[in-house]
Amino acid sequence: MAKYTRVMLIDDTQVDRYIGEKNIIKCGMAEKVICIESATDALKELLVLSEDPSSLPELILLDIRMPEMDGFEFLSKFEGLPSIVHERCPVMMLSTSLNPEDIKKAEASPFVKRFINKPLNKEQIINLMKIDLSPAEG
Amino acid sequence: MLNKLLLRQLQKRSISPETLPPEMQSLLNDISSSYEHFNKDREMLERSIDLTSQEMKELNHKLKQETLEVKKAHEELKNFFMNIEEVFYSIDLVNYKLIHISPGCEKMFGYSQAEFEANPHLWRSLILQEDLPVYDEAISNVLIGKSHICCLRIRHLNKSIKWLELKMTSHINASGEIIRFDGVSNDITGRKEAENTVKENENRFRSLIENSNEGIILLNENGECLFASRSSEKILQKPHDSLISNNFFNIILEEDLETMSETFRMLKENPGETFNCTVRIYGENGEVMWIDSDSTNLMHVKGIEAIVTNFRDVTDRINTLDLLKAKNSDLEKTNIELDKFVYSVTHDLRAPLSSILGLIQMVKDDNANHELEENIDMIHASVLKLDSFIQDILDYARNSRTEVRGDAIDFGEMISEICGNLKFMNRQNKQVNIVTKLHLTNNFISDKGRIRILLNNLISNAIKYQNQNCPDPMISINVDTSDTEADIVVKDNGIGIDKALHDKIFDMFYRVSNISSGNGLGLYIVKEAVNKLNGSIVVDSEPGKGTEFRIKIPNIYSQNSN
Repeated sequence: MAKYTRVMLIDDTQVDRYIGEKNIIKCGMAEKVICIESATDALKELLVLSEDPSSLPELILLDIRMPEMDGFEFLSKFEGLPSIVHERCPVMMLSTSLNPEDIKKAEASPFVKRFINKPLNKEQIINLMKIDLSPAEG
Repeated sequence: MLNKLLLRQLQKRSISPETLPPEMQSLLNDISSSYEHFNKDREMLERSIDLTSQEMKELNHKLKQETLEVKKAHEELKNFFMNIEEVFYSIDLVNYKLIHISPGCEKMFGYSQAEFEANPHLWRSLILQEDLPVYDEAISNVLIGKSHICCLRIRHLNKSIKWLELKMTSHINASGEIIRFDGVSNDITGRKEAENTVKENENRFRSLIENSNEGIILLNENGECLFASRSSEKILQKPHDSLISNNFFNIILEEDLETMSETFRMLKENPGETFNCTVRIYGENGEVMWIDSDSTNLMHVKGIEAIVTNFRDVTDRINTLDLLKAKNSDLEKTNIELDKFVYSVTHDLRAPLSSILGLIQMVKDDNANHELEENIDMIHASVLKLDSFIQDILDYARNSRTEVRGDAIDFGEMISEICGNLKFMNRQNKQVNIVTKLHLTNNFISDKGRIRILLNNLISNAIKYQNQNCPDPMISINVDTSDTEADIVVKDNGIGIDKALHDKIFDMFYRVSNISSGNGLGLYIVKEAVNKLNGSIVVDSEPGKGTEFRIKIPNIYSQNSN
């Protein structure tokens, strides 16, 4: 039995979506990975899913560097989504960035729970699964 | 009544006066009374003679006294005349002969009284050629009965030049003829020299003021110009006439009037204190000039009674400053852009690598083929090496360009984080036992990023260069912090480095041997980071035994509080 029912993975790089999806399923982190290739599409999808909160992902893995709309822009638009989305969907930032500014910015957002360095390999996933993301933690 | 003397004479002759005839008696009586009268007169006369002789004595004494005094005065006068530095002389104009000259002449001219008396032309011959007209004019005045004062130079016997002041008066006899003149000459060389010094000083200061690049103006309390040095005209590019009595508030740019008014207010309130202000004025051709000035209110000083301002044209300086500021902000912008560029490039280089790493991992997990797994391991190692090289380049770029920051350093957290990240760095190696010992004071402040760079490099080197033959590879990390510094020791029992190479290991791109898997940047970056932090690093290592790096980093906390 997987830990989560649904995890949403937002990444513009096809290979990284593939690696992430495979490893998440293999490690039993989630039964289903909603792979989305742009932040804009993700916002649209979340808005649609918010109509039926039970269908919302229990975790969003968000890449920072993406064309058109990057991860931080996504976060500011994310704030405008229905509050049920904020409650149900904690965010983890995913990047190869070593820029301390990025890490600082990510930590400043109330929605971001973790900053993870890519690649999303098995060890990373196993560590992530140990984290308790229940809303009580804040 | 007969007088006693007459009675005694009668008794001697034994004649009784009663027996004498009455005429005789009456005669004797008359004689007696006359005698008494005479006697009285005589006594009076005698007394008077006594008195007179007393007065005569006193008078005589007084006279003697006075004579003495006169003699003394005469002596003094003579003394005075003989010794006085001024030279007195009288000239008989009838016979054109020197009547007398005081002995001071010997000192003043170097010639004796006798020499002057013998040669009536000596005196004139001593006067400097160029001053003779002055003397001749004086003489011609004296000859028409006028007193005259003049200054001229003479040449002393010893060739020195002296300045003399001459005062001459002529004497006229009862019939109105000028018979003689008297003169006093006074050595005023010292006074003249002092006067000349004053004049020279004045000239010097005047020329300093006139030729200085600093303008000097005197203003009254309303800002009207009372005096302007010639340099002011040059600096302000305005003719003298337009400066004098012009109000300086009139030539200042409107934007700076408030600054000027404020300075004036401060000046008026604080006599004697100097205030600086920088304002803009319009130059001759309407261009704007920056003028920097220092003003002092000397209204209370007699002879000045003005606000003294010296000023200079700082237009070039301020323009250069503005230019520098603009350049600096350009540079800052470039630096920020460069920083962004470095992060973007490293990100874009690393992103595909991390994808490759993810894929390799998946292949390894799924595939049981031994040969394939070996190949995949090699690909994995290469990718890791490339990735760490990119990270090193980023560290290098950051260290060389960014300012040193002051962060509180938590060594415990930092070291365990680094060790956590390095745990899986090289699967061919055995697990290394890392022992950390910390002795920390409350506040150690330094640059977190750079401390992380050097710890990360030293620890990863210790893991990389472990001794494959050693049964229990270990690393000990000791950190001791005090108020002044941190003492960091990273020690391993790895392969070690030959002493001959210790000097080179910190060089850029230097690699100890082909076996080493590094890129030759790590220790170079460590050294650079230590330098940036004003710290020191020493290495102690022996092949086969291990390596110890000791780093000392100053505590910025103590520098700030001192």
